[in-house]
Amino acid sequence: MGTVYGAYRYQVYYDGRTEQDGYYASGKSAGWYYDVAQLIYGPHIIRRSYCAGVELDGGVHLFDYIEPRAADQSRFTLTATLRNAVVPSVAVGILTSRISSGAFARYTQLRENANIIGTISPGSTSATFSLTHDQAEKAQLYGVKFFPASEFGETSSTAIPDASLVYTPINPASRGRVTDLVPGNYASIVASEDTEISYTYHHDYGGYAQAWLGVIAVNQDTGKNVLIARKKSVSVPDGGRGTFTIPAGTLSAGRWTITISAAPAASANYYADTDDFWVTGQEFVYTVRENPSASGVVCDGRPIPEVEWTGVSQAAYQVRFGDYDSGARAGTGTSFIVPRIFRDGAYPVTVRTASSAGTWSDWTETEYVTVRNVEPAGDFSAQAAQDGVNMRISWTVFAGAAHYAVFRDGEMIAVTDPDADQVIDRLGAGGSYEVLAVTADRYYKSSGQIAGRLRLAADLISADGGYTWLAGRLTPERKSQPEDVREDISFVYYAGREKPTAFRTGQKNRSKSFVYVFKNRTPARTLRSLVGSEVIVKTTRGEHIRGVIPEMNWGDARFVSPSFQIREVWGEEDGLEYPTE
Amino acid sequence: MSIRLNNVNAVRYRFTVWRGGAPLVYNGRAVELEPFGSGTLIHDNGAELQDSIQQTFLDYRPMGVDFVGDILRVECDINGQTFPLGRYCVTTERPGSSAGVRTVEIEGYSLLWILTQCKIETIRTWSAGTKYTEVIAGLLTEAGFTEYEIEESSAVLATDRADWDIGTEFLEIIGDLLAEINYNPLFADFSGVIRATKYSAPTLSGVTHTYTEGRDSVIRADYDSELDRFGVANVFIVICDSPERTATLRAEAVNADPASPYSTVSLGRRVPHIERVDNTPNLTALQDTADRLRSESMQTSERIEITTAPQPDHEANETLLVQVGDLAGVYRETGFEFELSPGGQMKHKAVRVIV
Repeated sequence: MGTVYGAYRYQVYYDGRTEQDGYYASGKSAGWYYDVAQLIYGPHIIRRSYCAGVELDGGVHLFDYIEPRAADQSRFTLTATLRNAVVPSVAVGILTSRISSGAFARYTQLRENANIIGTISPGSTSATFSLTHDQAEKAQLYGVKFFPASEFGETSSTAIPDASLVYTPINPASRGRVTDLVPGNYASIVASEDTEISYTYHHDYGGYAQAWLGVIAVNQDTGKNVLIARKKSVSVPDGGRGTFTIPAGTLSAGRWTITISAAPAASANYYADTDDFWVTGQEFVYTVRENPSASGVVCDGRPIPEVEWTGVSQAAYQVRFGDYDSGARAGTGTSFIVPRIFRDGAYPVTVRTASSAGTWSDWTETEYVTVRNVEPAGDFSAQAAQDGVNMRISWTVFAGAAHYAVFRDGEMIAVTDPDADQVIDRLGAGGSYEVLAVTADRYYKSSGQIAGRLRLAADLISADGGYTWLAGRLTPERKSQPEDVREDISFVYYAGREKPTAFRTGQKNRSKSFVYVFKNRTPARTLRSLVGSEVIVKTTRGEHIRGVIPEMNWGDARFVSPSFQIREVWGEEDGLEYPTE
Repeated sequence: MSIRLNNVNAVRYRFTVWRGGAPLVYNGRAVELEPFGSGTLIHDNGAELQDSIQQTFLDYRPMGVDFVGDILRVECDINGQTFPLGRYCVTTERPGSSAGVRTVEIEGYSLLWILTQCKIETIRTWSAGTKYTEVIAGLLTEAGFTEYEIEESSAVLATDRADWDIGTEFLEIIGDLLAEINYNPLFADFSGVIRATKYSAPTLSGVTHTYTEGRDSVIRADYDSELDRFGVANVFIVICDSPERTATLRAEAVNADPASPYSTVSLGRRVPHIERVDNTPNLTALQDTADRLRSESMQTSERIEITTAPQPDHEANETLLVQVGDLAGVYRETGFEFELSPGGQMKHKAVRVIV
């Protein structure tokens, strides 16, 4: 073993460029190492030359050394070029046992245990070497050394060779390829589930089984790369079926190109770690779909209930509680406070979620939730009194109230801030009022039912939301004003059934008829101008209706006696929501 | 095999507007369009865009709806069960007024409409050996679709292809290619996924919906049927005479089924139908096309139109088993139509299949 004095230069070229160029100080670990895994497929020139003043102890020295990063390097070409004739021949050796770590140890093992795979004879300037399959099979790890042949009993020399070593991985004649993917090309897979993909593996590389499998996914929109699998020593015979799994959550929703690279054992390690391994793989395309699901629906059963669920791949959701329907709401949140106040009782609740692609899950199995109010302690009362042509509902302040909710005949007509102590009911004509002092924890204290009736000298009609009322008093021709409530039901007869099947709209049509007599035409004309408009009528009998006058029948010439119908429509206070945010 | 009905049924059609995969929100709530009167939703296997919708809504424009980019979604709730009825590009809006109520009448088409908007701007060439499915997938991706499923096929282009003029719609190119490999026409399913599926002849075991009269019947007693013998052939010859091929390919399929009244056996004569195609991946595909023509010819003599309760689980290419009155048999559905109103019924058009 000699000692190297001075320094030597090493250079790595690729594609005409110098990739590495530097100097090592000399020492016993006189080899330098270049990780083949960094190499891109193609010829690399690895050159090292000693600088002047280098002296070798014993005249034998590892000249150059190529170490694959972790595995056998089975098929490659080494072209050794001797540029000076100071050594009569050089030998190239391989090591077929595991190389110890450490540069010096590697050097030593190579020097002592390497098998010669060829020499450059005296007078030659270059030679090419490659491994046989047998050598490749036996080798676990091996390096290549390039050293004067004297090490192996040839003529020795203490002179320093100036030589280069060209390392060229051999493009295998046949690579592995895969066919018959299940699920097939362009199929959909579900993001939130493990997807096992099976394939048939083919190769014609002398009976070798598949040794490497690489699967990489690239999102077609974002270009994001995800490594799915990088398996070594996957044993699938030619024509056999193999599998790999895309784990749940690995790929997001979208379009992904899956590149599958496979290589036979004997050739795999040429490029299994290189870009080439991936670049030359086969491409398949999958649509990754989110399969949204909702489950585990629970509810706290408070009067303003909070519904929680477990959502998978959720970008939007929809909650139904009793007769309330939230409609689609964008969001990944898995809880929702229903913006209504529910009285004690059992209510059905169900939830569904949508993925970012807008695909809806099924509705969850309907659960029945019992709502139970825990009434806060304390006194609370309210009053209802006429205020001009409106009703005023006022109450005593309730400590701890977050809002006050005012109901008329069971319908919420107003929600106030905590510092309010009254509301004016402009639309109604009285009824049974109730005020709820709702606390921050979504329980309520009820004022109890308060009867309050508007006493009017005549019916009033307004076309501006109840702020001004039609001038001129309207006198009804008759005492009763008929009201009509109906729902459009379709009855359909199907062949073989004895009785019809009914389809309901779920929407009620309520209309009320009025007939008035006017002695002069001015108020009558004003009334006529309201045809097609939304109006509110309050009657002397404490009734009210808000709707549209679709048409009006004009009376006789002397006493104008218009008759009309108001068809109730959806109003602002219908479906009023309790503020939950 | 059909959606069961209760004695009293609540049917509701829901119209929502989605922008970029999320519901459009206005004043904190998802925008839901209020229908004004009844509309129709039509699926027609023979139509270029397959699905269309017509409906009048209360004026939705103040809610920020912009159908230049927004997508209309339709769902049907039947007794609490929800079914998607497709995603639509609204192509026409007609603002109007009815009894003082401002309305907008819309016409919309399936997402395939986007593929009619996309056209090739230069002559495209696809090399021989390229898989048909890859060409189709490439066009769908280029058109911006991410949700599509193309049934796998190993068929490859037999020759270099640059057949289509500048300005040809993507949908036309895809349609041509699908026909060459004997696929069904492209369609968008009601969940919004664009699908290319292989054609398969209807079979008894492939019945997807059953409509029979009886205790749980959902089929109306009234129906229409017609027999159309005009143009019925019993020998189908398909010829591919592409100038880029060295030889003319020819495939022939003969209807010799004694159960078929138009077969060569029943008629005692050959009635040929000759069809020429521009290209084909191979002779097998050409033979499949001939077989398909034969199969379809055995369906087309009897056309029916039946009415059922709304059955929103239908998609393209369904196979029906029908028994009502004198009508009984297996039929291939060619189209259906929903009346978009509570109590509205569903009409189905179908042709009889000899199985």
